[in-house]
Amino acid sequence: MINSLDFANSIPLLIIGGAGLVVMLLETIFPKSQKGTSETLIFYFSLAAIVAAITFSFGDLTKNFIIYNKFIRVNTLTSVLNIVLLTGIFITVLSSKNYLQQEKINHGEYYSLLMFSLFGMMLMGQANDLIVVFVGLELMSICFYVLAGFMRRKVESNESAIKYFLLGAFLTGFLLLGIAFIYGYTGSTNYTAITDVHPQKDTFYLLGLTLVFIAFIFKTGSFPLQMWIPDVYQGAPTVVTGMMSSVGKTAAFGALISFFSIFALNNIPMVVAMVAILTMLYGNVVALVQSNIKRLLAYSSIAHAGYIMVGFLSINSFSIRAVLFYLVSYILMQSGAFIIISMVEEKTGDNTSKNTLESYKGLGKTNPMLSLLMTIFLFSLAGIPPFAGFWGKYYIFLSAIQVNYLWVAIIGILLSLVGVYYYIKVILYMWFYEPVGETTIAYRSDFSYTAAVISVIGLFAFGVYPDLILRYLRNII
Amino acid sequence: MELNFYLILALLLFSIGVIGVLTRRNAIVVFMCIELMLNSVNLVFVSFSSFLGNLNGQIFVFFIMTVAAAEAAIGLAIIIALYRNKSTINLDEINILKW
Repeated sequence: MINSLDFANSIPLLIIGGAGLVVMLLETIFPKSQKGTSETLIFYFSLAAIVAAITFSFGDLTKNFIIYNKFIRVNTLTSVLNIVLLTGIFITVLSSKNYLQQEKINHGEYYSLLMFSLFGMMLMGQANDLIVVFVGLELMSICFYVLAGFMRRKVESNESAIKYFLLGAFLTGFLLLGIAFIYGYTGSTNYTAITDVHPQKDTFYLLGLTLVFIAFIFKTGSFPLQMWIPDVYQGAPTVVTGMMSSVGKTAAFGALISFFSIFALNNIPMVVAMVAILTMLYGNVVALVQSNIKRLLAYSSIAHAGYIMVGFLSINSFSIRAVLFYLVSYILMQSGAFIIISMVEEKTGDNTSKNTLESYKGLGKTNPMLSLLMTIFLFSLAGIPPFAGFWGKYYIFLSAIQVNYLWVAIIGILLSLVGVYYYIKVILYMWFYEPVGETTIAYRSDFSYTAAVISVIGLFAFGVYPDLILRYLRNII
Repeated sequence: MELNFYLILALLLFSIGVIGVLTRRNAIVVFMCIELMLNSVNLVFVSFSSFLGNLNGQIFVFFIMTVAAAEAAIGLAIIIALYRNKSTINLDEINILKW
């Protein structure tokens, strides 16, 4: 039975789910003539809901419960994940307002879709049952399909949405088949019940685990199934790209952590190592030749998925902490970089001429503030101290060395050095080249600046003093 | 041994779906093949549920049907938006985004 304790322990989830519904109602309550009012109201309401949910998540940090008839877990790991996801969406909401006005897609549904996708992501992280994993994953993905195609009059946005949709739905089939096999072998879909069964190695069971792992490889954008990432990320609205590439990946990796620890997937390090190395190799090498900044960061996000995968070589308390630290820094730097891109983006021009690296030439002379922020994000993505990205890579590779996979760490470090090249290239374009023609800034927005500055402060604080995050992660078993 | 027949049928349907997704080029047909995959998984769940004698699998099927319906609504909307802008739903002609 569901009792009041269940509600009391899942307040962040309830707030976000409720906020999504309220935002949808607010949009319809106001007549079209008062669009400005409803827009502002929805914007501040979403921010307030997220802040409230973050506050309650901090209260959940020390809990350890399984609630709603063993369907939802609340513990340190899930609360930290919730805080990270909520912060990511907070930054996204803050940076979206003026971008949406600029692109004339300022509809209230945008915020409710963000809230529902956030609800799905939090469910994925907190799931204690494969049904909840499936429902959360689909809730997230369906909202992402719509958000990717949100600029419905632009053909590249449509194209990005349909590519994402067809591939995402295709992989859902594999995820479900995997869950069906796991269910057929263990007789349950509940994590608690499955761990009680102590499943042995059986062809059926292993096939099921493999299929679910393949679906997660797709969602995280790791090697054999990464081809959708650049296309989808390039066509989607820029703020949505920033959200999908940072928050969406974080949610998928968060669900993967509990999947790995529940099903004790510590005996497949070679598979994980191969996936991680090929992902890092592909992302870093193909990013070298990109001329479009959104595509460049899409390939770099593939490379980052590879670094995070290294943390999954062997799931223990140290590697979970390393992965979470990496996710925190990654969410800040990736969404930060995309905020800057959304501000620099040209107003006109078709897809091929938009967002080229050329348009960043001489940006340091025309817009020193924007360039400075972008430089910090790119330094952090490249893993240069004193920013949080450095410690993320440090802990990830340290966790690989601890379980005697020194060679994976060495390959990873070498490939991340390859990655430095293309980040530095953008920085050189900004500071050491003369402007080509006139660099027009799409719009100026205090909200977007605030979001970018919040990310920079986070990157700097966690980079100088990583213990700020690590002390919350100590309780993770 | 009855279970095996159901599983073989379901996996056959699933393979037909996969092959359809990989070979057909019309977005609607691809989408129908994906629905075929999801429904074959429903068959797997129901047959396991009846074989094991517990209801978890059948409950899961309801979730899958609901999600498939939501996915169908979104998918057809995206296909219509694409058709309005581009006047085609042939996947080979959807190729603006590439390197």
